[in-house]
Amino acid sequence: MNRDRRLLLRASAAGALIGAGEVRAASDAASPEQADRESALYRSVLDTLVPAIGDSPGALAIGLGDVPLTDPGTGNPADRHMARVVFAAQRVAGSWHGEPFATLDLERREAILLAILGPWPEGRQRPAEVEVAHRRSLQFVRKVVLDRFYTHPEGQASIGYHAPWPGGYRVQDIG
Amino acid sequence: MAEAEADVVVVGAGAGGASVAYRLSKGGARVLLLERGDWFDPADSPARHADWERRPSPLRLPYGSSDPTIVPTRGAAIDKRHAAAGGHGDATSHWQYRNPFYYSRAFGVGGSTLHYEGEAHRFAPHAFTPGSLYGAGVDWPLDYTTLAPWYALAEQLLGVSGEPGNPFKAPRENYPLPAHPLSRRARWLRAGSERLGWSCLPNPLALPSRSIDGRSPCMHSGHCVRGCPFGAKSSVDRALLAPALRDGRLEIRPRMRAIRLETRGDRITRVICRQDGKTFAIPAPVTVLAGGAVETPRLLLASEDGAHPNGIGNTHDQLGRNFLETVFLSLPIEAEQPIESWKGPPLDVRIWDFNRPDPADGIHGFTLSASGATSRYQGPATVANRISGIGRAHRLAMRERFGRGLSLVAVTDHQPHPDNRLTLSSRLDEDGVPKVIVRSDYGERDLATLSAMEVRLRELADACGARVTAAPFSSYFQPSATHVGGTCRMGIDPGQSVTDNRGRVHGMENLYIADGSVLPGQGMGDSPSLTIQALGLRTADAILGRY
Ligand SMILES: Cc1cc2nc3c(=O)[nH]c(=O)nc-3n(C[C@H](O)[C@H](O)[C@H](O)COP(=O)(O)OP(=O)(O)OC[C@H]3O[C@@H](n4cnc5c(N)ncnc54)[C@H](O)[C@@H]3O)c2cc1C
Ligand code: SF4
Repeated sequence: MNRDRRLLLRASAAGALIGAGEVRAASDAASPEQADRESALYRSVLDTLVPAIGDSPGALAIGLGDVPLTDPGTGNPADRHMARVVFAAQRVAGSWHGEPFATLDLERREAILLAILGPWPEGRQRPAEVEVAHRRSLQFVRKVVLDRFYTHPEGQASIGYHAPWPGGYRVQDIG
Repeated sequence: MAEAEADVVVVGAGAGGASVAYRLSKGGARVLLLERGDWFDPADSPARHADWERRPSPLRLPYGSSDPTIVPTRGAAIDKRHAAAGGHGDATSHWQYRNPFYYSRAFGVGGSTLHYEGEAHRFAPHAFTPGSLYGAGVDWPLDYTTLAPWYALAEQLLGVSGEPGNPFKAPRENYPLPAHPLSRRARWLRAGSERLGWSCLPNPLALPSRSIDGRSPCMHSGHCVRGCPFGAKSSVDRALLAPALRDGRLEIRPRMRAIRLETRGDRITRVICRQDGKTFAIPAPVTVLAGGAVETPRLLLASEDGAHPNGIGNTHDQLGRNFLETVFLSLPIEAEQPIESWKGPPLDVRIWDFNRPDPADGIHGFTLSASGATSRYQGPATVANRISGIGRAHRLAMRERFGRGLSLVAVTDHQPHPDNRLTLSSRLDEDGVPKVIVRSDYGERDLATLSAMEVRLRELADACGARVTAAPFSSYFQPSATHVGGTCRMGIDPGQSVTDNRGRVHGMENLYIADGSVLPGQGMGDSPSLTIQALGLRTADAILGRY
């Protein structure tokens, strides 16, 4: 993980406010346990957006957790947006379940990200710090992750599409 | 080959120019072919990569990008009466004017055939005489029977794959290659159209079903518009120019652009060109222009001189008039079940039941088809982003819905009108050539036909059991042309046309045109490239016979 990304994630995992794109200073020195927790949080967001289903791999199995996330169309990095998403997911997980996001089961994690994407579910409390900017960041991260997943051969194979040629019907050259 | 040795200079290596160059060089002429674009290498096709959706096309100007030759101008005012009658969704409420004209084409050795979808249509006999049969458009200065031998030759050279027996067309011999087996999308469409009593027939395609000339057969990837990743498609660079080059009489100069013609009296003497920042003069015993229906009239208009004050070949003020754009309507739908809509040749069937108009009802001939091969439906990432949600539900929805989306498409002719025209702008491009302004509007018959096409598309969607997912997309609101013509149309009367029926410019001794600009009409919903190629081969034979 590169240094900027680590700093952003650490700041958000620690609960720093990244609502308006401000990142509060965070120490670059982290214990191995802290680094593991941050990585687990980051990966759990990816795993929630595109989980494995049955035998079909999800975002983590195709390596999306191990590379910098960028928008394949524009090349824009998604780190700052990801940091906001991580922050919001942590806050909602704490508010709803009193547990870190990464330790929740998939169903609960999905419900949290869906709530951030909106509309907010009735009867559920919205933490005050979770705002529109977080929804926009999640929309951006969602787009980047879906783009990455479905432009990857394994993501494509999961829907029966095989690039570069999509498994057209059989042709025998007898000419 | 030294420049002075060329017998014929051809400008533009697209559908028409390559056909002329092939035939002339095979017939013994020394041909210099100038092309402003470059060679296309199948290895550069984005479709070679899993992430093709995110790669820029090496061929195509992205939709909405600024056109290098056309000045964007506000379109004609929308006729609300007809827009409402056509039921074009809520478009009627906020559209005041047609959007600026968008022209999709490729600059390169192969021209727009580099990204065409290979439909290889002979126009039906009635499409050559629409004026006398239906009082719409103009009669061509030649009939189907006259052109048929060159149609057959073009099909042979391209290895067209098809099935004879289309009852809406003239009787014919077998195609050079057998038709492709129908894709699942095509079988689904055929079942729906049969419920309506319509015939959904295999589309003749210049996508060879078997290997020819050592090339791969078509692999059914559906990626034709991105440049065939296998080099299988019979774009004219591969089907015509590569074999012609082997004889040694054809020289192709890629990246060389003609910017002006010089004349003496009724003769072209030299073609002035630009390449890599330098200017060249090429002596031209005979010149054939084949830059397409926008670039050819532009070059002629921009070459005005003392003897031709309104441009070359424009004695009767016909040059650039009667512009024909692509009149179409598409209806986005989703099938009830997955039909692998992205798979197979992009347009492997077509419905011709409405190609022959009823003289009484004011509606022109049109055809119907279905396309799943735009990235909107074909691209997994694009489809994924259009499905809402996340997580398992999203993944299951992708499995369920990918391969069900497609567009039903109807196409007709644009009715020629002298006020639909190209003129030169005062703005110059980087080579100092004036850009063009396109003025193009729809008349009563165009609009009535659009409405009739929408009715038929909705019937077809119903019969297929498909759900309409959005309002139809109509070229009336967003002109988006792939088939253009008319601007140097052929005819007998020099007061109504620019060339004769062999492509020679009226009043000019050694100047010919062999591209879409000579077409007086568009085949009533058929695609034009085979007709452009057949006419180009015929023009070449006329030149060979004359010199
Ligand atoms: C996406 C798409 C799909 C299509 N699908 C089909 C289909 O399935 N079937 C069909 O029949 N038609 C199809 N068409 C239309 C078809 O490709 C065109 O009608 C046909 O190629 C036009 O031929 P042309 O010779 O007039 O021009 P083009 O093929 O466009 O060739 C013109 C060439 O001239 C060159 N040129 C222009 N000006 C100059 C200059 N001054 N100096 C040097 N070179 C110059 C250009 O770079 C270009 O290479 C499609 C078009 C598009 C865009
Ligand atoms: S459908 Fe056939 S011709 Fe078209 S790109 Fe694919 S392989 Fe090439």
